[in-house]
Amino acid sequence: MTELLQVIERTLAFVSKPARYVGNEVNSVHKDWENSETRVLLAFPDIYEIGMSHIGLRILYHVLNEEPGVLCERAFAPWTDLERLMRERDIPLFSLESWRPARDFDIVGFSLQYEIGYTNVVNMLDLAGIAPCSADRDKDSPLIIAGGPCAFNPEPMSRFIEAFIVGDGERAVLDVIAAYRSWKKGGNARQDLLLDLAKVDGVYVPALYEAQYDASGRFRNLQGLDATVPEVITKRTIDDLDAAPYPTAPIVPFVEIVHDRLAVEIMRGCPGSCRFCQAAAIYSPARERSRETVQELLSRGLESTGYEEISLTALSSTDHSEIQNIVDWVREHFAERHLSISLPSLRFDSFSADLARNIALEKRTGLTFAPEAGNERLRHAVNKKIDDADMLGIVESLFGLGWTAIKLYFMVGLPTETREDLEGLVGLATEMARLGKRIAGARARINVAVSAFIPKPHTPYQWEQMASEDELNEKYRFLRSRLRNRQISLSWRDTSLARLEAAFARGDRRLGEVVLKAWQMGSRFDAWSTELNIDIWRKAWAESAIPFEFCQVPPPSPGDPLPWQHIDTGITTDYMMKQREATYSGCAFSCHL
Amino acid sequence: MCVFMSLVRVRYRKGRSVRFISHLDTARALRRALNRAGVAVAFSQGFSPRPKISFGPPLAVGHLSETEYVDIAVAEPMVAEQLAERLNATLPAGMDVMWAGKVPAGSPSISAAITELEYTVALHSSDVSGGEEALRNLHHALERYRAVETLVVERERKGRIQRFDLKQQVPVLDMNSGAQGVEFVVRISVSKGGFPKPEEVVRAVFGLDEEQMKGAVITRTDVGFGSA
Repeated sequence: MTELLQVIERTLAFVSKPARYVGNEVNSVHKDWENSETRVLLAFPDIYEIGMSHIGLRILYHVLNEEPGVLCERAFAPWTDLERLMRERDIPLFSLESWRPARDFDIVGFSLQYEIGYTNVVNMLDLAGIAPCSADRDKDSPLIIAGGPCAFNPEPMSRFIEAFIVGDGERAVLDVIAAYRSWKKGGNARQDLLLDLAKVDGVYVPALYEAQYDASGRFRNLQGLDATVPEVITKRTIDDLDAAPYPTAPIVPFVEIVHDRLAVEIMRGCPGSCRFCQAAAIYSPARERSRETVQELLSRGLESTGYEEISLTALSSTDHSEIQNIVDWVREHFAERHLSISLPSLRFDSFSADLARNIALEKRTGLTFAPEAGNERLRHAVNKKIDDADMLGIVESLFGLGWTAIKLYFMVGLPTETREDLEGLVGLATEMARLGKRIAGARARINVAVSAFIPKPHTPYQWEQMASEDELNEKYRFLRSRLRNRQISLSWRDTSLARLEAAFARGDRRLGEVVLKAWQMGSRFDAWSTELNIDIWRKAWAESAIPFEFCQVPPPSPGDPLPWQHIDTGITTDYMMKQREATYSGCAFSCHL
Repeated sequence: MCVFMSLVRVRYRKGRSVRFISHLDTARALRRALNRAGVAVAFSQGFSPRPKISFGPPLAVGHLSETEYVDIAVAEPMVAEQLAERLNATLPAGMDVMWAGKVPAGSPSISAAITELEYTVALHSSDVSGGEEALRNLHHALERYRAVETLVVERERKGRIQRFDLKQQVPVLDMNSGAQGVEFVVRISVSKGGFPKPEEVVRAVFGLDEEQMKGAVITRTDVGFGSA
């Protein structure tokens, strides 16, 4: 063992859950370092248990390691106990597979899943001994790239990331590798690499653009600094999921991860068009994997992993045209295996009691639905068309089938929301609780999870004003005072965190300074309630050159330039404006795409 | 449904690369290895059936083992050696089946059968600073320990204090030294009321600090089966 390996091994004896950092899981890929031409490190800015639950990371790991001459390893954010020891003992950020320093890789790619993880990216770069800001990096530093939902407004992270991959990554990442390889053979300057990368479809290289602001500090324009860079970056889209690569032998973690099961993506995109939803926009159009391919991936995946639970994942799995057939097949085909089936993010309007009978063959604990809004009026206004009666009918049959807990996701602060709509939420949850108690008895649970509506780029609500902290807290107090049923538990996401997420979701590149300062002041793992210190952010914001109060950037008006306007999802501004208007005019039904 | 069932006892080792995998995670890894091997494991009856697999005393996170035991209820006709072979093809790297054999009907459960655990605690010479003199001190400490009637260690957990008398619960304590460092041999009696950990024994007897102990490579080398 090298000295670094010994130091790491010894250090792991002092930290919580050391198994997060040791790799060697079944199906992890250990390619030969010396014989690999291009070495890529996939970096996830959160802990192992979260990063390994992410399908995108698993797909890219598979795609890259299948590619001849490419080696791909993983790194996750070390928890604070390990970070402290790494800094004390000069241990650099290291990969799981070979415990090699991140700095030794050619390319480090970050997965940006949520805005609240941004300081972890900076922290991981710093732990790796890589200058956090692209402009400060030397020619031997790895190329720092990123992808994921946050690449759809890349500006707040544009000073740290050299190239963003926008959209589906499984083919785009190979194009980036190809561009990197030919640049490396040529032995040219770093600037040439950036220019080459900017020519790859779906790749955005922020350093080749300059942002302009007006006298009041509002965003005006993003100007290309070189004639060859594209004005608009169109997201990459895989047309045929059946032809797209998907891991047949996914890694089986030792530690129990958040989604500890065989996940097969049965669908990408969502056929719904809820007006608040960014995922529907960035993963559009809705595409299915065929039943045959799904079955093949399930068979091979179960054989290679030995998992006891499978998950058929999608933004809305019950919208797959053959969901019932797939579930029936699993039930018959693996009858001896004692398998459980889970379906994430269910939609009431496409869910049936027949399906309920066949999922979760072994355990019937909880199911999650997202009514999003409390009553039919508001649901129709945001284009989530589902009736109270349908929901109550499904919940009634679920309790009858043996389920004991139903989780409901709601948003508060949606456009046009009134007190009456919140009363609708209370009424709906209370009615479900009543049904639960009648059918399943005292152990019936309705878990109501409420979060603040956050206006997101590329949605019809990108121009909306978000509710203030006071307004949101008032709404929460109202719900808390009214949801006083023994069967109901209410959870609430921190309001200040939601406001922060909103600021970064629609932020421009100046917010990069806030990220950097917040990191310098010690911000890490802000998505973790035990670690979040909102005062750091307040201070970092105040000390940055942002001409607005903390999290008080005024929303853009229709027609205003948008900091993310150079990113094209294929959904037109005109369509989004019409959808927004429909919210206020109430013509929810005629405006469906 | 296959009604055939036999209980197979498996002894496996846990090497350095899996030393940080906890007992629960190891159990899950073994279950999945059985699934990959296509071994039909018997399940318990009832509302939430569970595979009938039972483990010996948990191994602490960070410890290696040459001798871990698990009993697996197999629901298909199979000789024990076959099970060993199939498991070895699918277990994670660092876990290897060393032996497998049928458990005769009526035998005590594996957790009841194991009455003693033996460990080696190896300290690298760089962790025993002070050279010859430090080594002499360790020998003196061992002699002093052998001469006393009782040596009680305390463990505080969730506000409750547990006490173990090492003279009662540690039938073997020895040390060997060489150029590489020192190695302590600790044999501990398993008791329902609790028993000391090898680190606790070495720390209490030899006065080593936590940092030194964290550097130690601790290996479960043997288990003792009671005569019951």
